[in-house]
Amino acid sequence: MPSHLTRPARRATAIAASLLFAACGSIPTRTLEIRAIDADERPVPCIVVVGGQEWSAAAKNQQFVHLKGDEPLRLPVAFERSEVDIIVAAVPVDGQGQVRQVPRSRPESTDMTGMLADFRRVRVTDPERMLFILRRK
Amino acid sequence: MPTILRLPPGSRHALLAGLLACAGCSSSTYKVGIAVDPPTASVYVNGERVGAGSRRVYEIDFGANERICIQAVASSHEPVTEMFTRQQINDQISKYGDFSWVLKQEK
Repeated sequence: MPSHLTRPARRATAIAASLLFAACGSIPTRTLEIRAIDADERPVPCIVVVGGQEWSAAAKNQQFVHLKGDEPLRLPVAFERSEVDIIVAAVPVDGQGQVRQVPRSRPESTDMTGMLADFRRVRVTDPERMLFILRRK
Repeated sequence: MPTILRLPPGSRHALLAGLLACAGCSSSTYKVGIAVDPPTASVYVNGERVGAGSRRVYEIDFGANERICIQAVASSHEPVTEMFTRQQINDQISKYGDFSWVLKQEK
């Protein structure tokens, strides 16, 4: 069937369709900068668990912050849904900044450290720099 | 009969670039009064410490973000974390003026 579009117009339409398809198909990813403090504004060593992830998987992926200093964790997060839940929970560390035991849940983290985990539902359009504030039990 | 503006290809690109630049310039900054009790509390905007609890007006820039995060924290008190859209900031300013938080003392 002959097209009523000229060749440049056909090409432009094809490019636009490809871009639209690519935009719809890809999962947006954002690198978040995560820090965790207590009420006295001191850094708290924490594990960062993203979007229903297994806590052991987060540990395996080294999703820890402030184990040795106050540098933030830069963590790429894929937004498979419009909102992603992020849990930041305290972990017990030894004098060398090594994690003594990885908690498997928020209550376990509280039992190990006496700190209550912080939680946030994050959107892809939220600021990249995130501060989590943990309270004492 | 409608008038059709015909521009040479180079001018069209320049015009488009100009329009995009104007769109990017639209203001995303709000002047927001924040007061926290106790006044020794620290105020954080988007994870960055911007000041202490006693009332102050802050210039808050949304940039490309749809929400901003305002937090207040003080020793021996329960912290506050709130996320706001532009609409919520506008509503707050027009209805109540300042943001005012009283942090609960930890038990």
